Amino acid sequence: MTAVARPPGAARPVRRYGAVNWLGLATLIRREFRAYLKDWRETVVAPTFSALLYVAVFAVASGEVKGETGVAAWAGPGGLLPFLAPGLVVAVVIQRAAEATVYNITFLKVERLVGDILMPPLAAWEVAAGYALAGTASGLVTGLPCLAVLLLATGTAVADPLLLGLVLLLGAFLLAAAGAVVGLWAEKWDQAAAFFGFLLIPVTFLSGVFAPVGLLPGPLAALVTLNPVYYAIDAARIAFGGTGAEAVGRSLAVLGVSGAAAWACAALLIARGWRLKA
Amino acid sequence: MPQPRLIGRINWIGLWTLTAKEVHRFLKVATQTIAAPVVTTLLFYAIFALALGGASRQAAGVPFLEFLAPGLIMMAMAQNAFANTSSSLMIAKIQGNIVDVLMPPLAPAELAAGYIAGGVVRGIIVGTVTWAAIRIFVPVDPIHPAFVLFHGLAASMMLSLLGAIGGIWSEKFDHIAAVTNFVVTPLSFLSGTFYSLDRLPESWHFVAHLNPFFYMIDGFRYGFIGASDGTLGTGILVLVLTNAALLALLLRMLGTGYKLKA
Repeated sequence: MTAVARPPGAARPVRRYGAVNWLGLATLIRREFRAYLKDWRETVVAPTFSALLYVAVFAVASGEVKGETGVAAWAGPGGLLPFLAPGLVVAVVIQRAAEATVYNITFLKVERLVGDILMPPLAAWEVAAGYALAGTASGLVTGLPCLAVLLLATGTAVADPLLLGLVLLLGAFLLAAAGAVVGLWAEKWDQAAAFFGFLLIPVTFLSGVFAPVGLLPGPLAALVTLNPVYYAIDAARIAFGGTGAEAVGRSLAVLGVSGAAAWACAALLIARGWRLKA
Repeated sequence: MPQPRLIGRINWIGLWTLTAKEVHRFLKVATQTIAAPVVTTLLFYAIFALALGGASRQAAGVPFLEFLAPGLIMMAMAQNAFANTSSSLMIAKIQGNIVDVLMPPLAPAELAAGYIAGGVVRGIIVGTVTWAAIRIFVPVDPIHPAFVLFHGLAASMMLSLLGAIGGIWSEKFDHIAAVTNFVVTPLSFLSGTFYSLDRLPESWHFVAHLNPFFYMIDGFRYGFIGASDGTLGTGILVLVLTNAALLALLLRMLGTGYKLKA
């Protein structure tokens, strides 16, 4: 809005928005993304480092460091390490995307700064989109260095970069949007942390990061295939040139639809002021 | 007119109060301080069982799952003992209520004892609950209880000391998070929790023996499975000396008020 000369005493013109308050949306995304990058040691370096630790531990414990093969016979001729890379990348990306939104929203509530997002002229769906997109960017910005390091450490290559990019993008958006719902729900830090310790991390780790879901006991395997993270890991493994159990199109559809649903849910809750307005 | 309270050689009331405060602090949020680490440890157990625990697989002469259990229990104890003292001191410093423990008539040795007791109690509770949960699925029982007890206590104490030292040294949450992520977690992951030493290339054996975490896990595991990777006597010596050195350092920090008193 450039300043236009107006006659003295005339009312300031009302600022007009189009269908979308682009400036406000971009400002919210920038603010949340910067908050994430500010702690880059904890949010980018540490998760990459711990993904490497998992690779190291599995490399030694499986005996592959000493050239032993066949411990993880299900992993195929390439051995265990190439199997781990896609799952670990997806796990890191979605976990970071979720942490970005869950903790940023919980912080606003605990510190009573909720006005920061309720007062600006942003519609509920714009606030939800702002958080979801900033969380997506956060997950991806950690995912890229992590991917690079894992490719080096496990000696794998990405067969279909486009597919991998799409999977990571949709997976990050889904968890960032779902994270917004969790952030709205949580009233204390404990509750925010409980989401990760009791739900997201167990579900992710059992969804085929370290071993195929098929190795799980029947009922548990059936349960795991109901969660979208499973589809993200399965499709990512196909993008790495490995074998997956699901059709890629179906996996992408599951991720896209559940991401949109999570975003709509967050928007609806923000519009109703759930746990935001007294 | 009230008379000054006479305190003997040891301020028992003060020491007990500090210990009780440290224990209540974590019990109040038991979901995060006990249940969450137990769930995470069981998750690791399940994943390793799934990925590497083929029926006939053995490590150090016992089934892989029996080998893995003591290592994971020890890892959980160590990480939680560290988390308890480091977070307690760190939060007290950031929030400014560290004066609550510096003002009362407690000597450095009493302060150290109170904090360490809090960390050790948390380590032991987490370890016991994890063991009880694993016990449902896999029969792992101590065959040399003295080794289990000694290494459990020595390790919890060592990590409580490290946590207290780290908590005093750190000026921001970032600092202590860095110590957790880049020192404590790697040392515990790469210490033989998940594998027996013969899985490492020869040239790495020497490096593995430099890690004090190796001895606490090795001795603790000996208490459960009766087999060890290292020399148990050396391990006990390393643990006693490391604890003594860390204790001396902590007492000196508390005595001089390093980063505690302006």
